[in-house]
Amino acid sequence: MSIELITTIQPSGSSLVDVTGIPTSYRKIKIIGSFSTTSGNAGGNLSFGNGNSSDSHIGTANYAHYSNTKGTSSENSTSSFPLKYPVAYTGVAAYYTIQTRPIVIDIEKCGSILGNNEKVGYSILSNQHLYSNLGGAVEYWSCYMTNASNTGFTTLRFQLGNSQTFSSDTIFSVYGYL
Amino acid sequence: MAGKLLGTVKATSNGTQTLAINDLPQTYSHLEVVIHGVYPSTYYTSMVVRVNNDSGTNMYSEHAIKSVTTNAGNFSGANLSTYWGYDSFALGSTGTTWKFWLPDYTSTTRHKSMIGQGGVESDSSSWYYIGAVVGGLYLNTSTAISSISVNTNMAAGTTLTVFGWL
Repeated sequence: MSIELITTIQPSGSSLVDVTGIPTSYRKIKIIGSFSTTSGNAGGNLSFGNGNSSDSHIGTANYAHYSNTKGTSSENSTSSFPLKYPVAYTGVAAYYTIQTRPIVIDIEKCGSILGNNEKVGYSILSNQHLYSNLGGAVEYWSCYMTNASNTGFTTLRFQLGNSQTFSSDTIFSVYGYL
Repeated sequence: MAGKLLGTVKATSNGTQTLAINDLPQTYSHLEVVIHGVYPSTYYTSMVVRVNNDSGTNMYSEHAIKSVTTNAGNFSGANLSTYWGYDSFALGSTGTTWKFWLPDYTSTTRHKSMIGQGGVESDSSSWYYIGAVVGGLYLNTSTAISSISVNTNMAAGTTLTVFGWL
């Protein structure tokens, strides 16, 4: 197996970034990254998807299972993009400024191609240690998306909510597995 | 090739010891760390995982969701410690593999985040077949990560491997 770096993005100062032109030749896409926002504890939840807000089927099932200092729980929803339950929250009441505590994401999408009238599942793992000196939260998200337009998609979108912007040291690396 | 092997070390005998990979290059975006091995006794033991050989107090925070034998997904823990492994990393008598990521490990302005997954199996019939998701922080904003180590009672053949990802 050969793994190639498709791109590395550092969307400093932006609230939304699209990675366009993802080749459809890969069998798996993997994204590793860490992000924080520029305005401390205000929060800006991260959504991830193909960014097609007019596609009502994007994010048809958005499932979250998480664990934090208060226990474990799970949630699910039906929503369009941006997701009702985003990939990661930065809006946790914070003891410390979150700028220095980046949230990690580990996202994988497997399949023959990106889209092409197939249901696409994303495995999403995120971690955040934002509040209290007792630790924080580990969250495991599985976000299940469909492409209703039958055209496939070659764009990945990262979007922060609550009018937040990415900090200067935010980094997302996108890899393709041949 | 986006990922490159930066180093691997293997225990050559049974016993409590440290496996370490030092002088990690600072030219990659992220690190991937794999620990694979066996506890040479019954049941399991915790592992002490450190970066930069840092044993300072309150330098490591971690949190895990664990599935322990029949108790699936309802265990969590958190701590501040002198190492990673208090709530998460364990080495089982039958077999263990952990993998975790250290994105942006060269940062000198932020804490370094960690996230990973592992599976542990022991010879205990009562418990300690574990699948876990773990996340954590190395609470040092100013120093990049240049070394990784694991210390515990391990069997010969237990390995620590580090990959660099562009």
